[in-house]
Amino acid sequence: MPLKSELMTFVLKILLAALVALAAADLVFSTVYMMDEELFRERLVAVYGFVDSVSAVLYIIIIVVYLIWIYRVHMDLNRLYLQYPRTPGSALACMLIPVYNLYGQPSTFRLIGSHYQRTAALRKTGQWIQGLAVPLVIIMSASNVLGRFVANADEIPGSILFASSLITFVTYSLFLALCLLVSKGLIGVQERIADEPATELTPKLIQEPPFVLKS
Amino acid sequence: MEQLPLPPAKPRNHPARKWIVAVLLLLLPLSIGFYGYLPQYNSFTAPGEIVPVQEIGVHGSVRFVYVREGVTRNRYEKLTVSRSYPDAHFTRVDASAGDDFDDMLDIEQDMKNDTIRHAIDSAAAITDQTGTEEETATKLNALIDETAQYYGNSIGLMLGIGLYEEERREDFSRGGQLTIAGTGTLEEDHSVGSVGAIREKLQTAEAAGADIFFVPKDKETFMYFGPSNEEEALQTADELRLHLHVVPVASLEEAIACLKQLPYT
Repeated sequence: MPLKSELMTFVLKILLAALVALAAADLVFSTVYMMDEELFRERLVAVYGFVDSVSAVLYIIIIVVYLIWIYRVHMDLNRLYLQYPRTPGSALACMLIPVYNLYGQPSTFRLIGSHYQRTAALRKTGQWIQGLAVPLVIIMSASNVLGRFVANADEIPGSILFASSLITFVTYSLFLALCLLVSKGLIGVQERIADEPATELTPKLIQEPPFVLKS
Repeated sequence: MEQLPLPPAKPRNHPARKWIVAVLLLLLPLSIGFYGYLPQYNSFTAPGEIVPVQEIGVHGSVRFVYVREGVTRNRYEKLTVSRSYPDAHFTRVDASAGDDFDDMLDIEQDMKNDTIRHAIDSAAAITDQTGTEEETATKLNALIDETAQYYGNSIGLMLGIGLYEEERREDFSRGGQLTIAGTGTLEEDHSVGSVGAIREKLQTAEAAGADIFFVPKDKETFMYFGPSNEEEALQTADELRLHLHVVPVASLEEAIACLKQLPYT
């Protein structure tokens, strides 16, 4: 049975890879801005604006895709692990509820990581996911604070713009890494279950129904 | 009974389907990005700030107003300006506007230098403190340097008043109790000439808490299309219910006389 998150994982990987590439370009531009503002204004400001506007729209699309992805990943996790403690709806709530998501987001990934670690072949993947969960929230918060400062500042110091671009690049890269690790883990768990020999229905298991039909 | 042939199982997520979804979602921001960069020219005027003449090295208490003007070349630039200056007013212009704007800046640079010279000469004439040619040239060059970041000649009137205060050691602001701002060029004959962006300048002065705002008294002399500065200022003050007091003046002498008549509070 294919994974329910398969399509969204593929789409999210492509979109996040594109966003990481745009963030890398943005990082190059802000490095130039920090080192030679005049060169930036003369040569790069138009391209920078284009990258900025494409990134902004792509970011919004990714948020929607990400939420659908996390929902479908939890549909798979609930199917692959008996009594997985987080439903798709509560996983979405962990991502969406303001302030609570500071706890909810890392806890969701830590939970995924801890479940993967139960499978020997996925122990490392699980450890990586658990390890990335907390830095993700810290870096996201720093990215938000710096992003707001940059958006509201009349004149942005080159070092602040560079720091903001660097943190944004790291944040998107972390999300891409988590997406890859989670999908790798899901495929691994699914393959492991598929490889296990199916239990045959022995006569012992096919029991008489515990009732009689009485007319 | 013969079994009906079952159709082959259709794979749930065909690789092509995945790519189509991904590429379509990638094309969306790219299309918006390209749309934002299609040429569309707009000139804009946005409120700026009021600047004490002390900031340009004149020992006076009055302030001049500057507004932000420019040309955006596409929707992205327009959006960026709108985000930075929500009160910006845009007007659609043609592709030559960018070059025209650059040419206008060069012309306005010369006009600004003229109005600074007129302000120095007018203030000196009114105060009977005419210096040597060398002193005047030094003052002129210093003021041109100090005002290098501003364009346009609307600084003239307020600079003239500031230089008068400096010469006479006057303080029309009554120790900072009044915020006096204004706009208008200053001509060789001490008359006050018309300027642009009156509405935005009034908004800027109001936002900065100005009490008095001088505008050119040009109802009879206005030579351009549309309402004169005097009419536009009074209309804007009424329309926006501004608290500042709009004072039309025809000359530097009239502005100074008006300021001298202000009651002490």
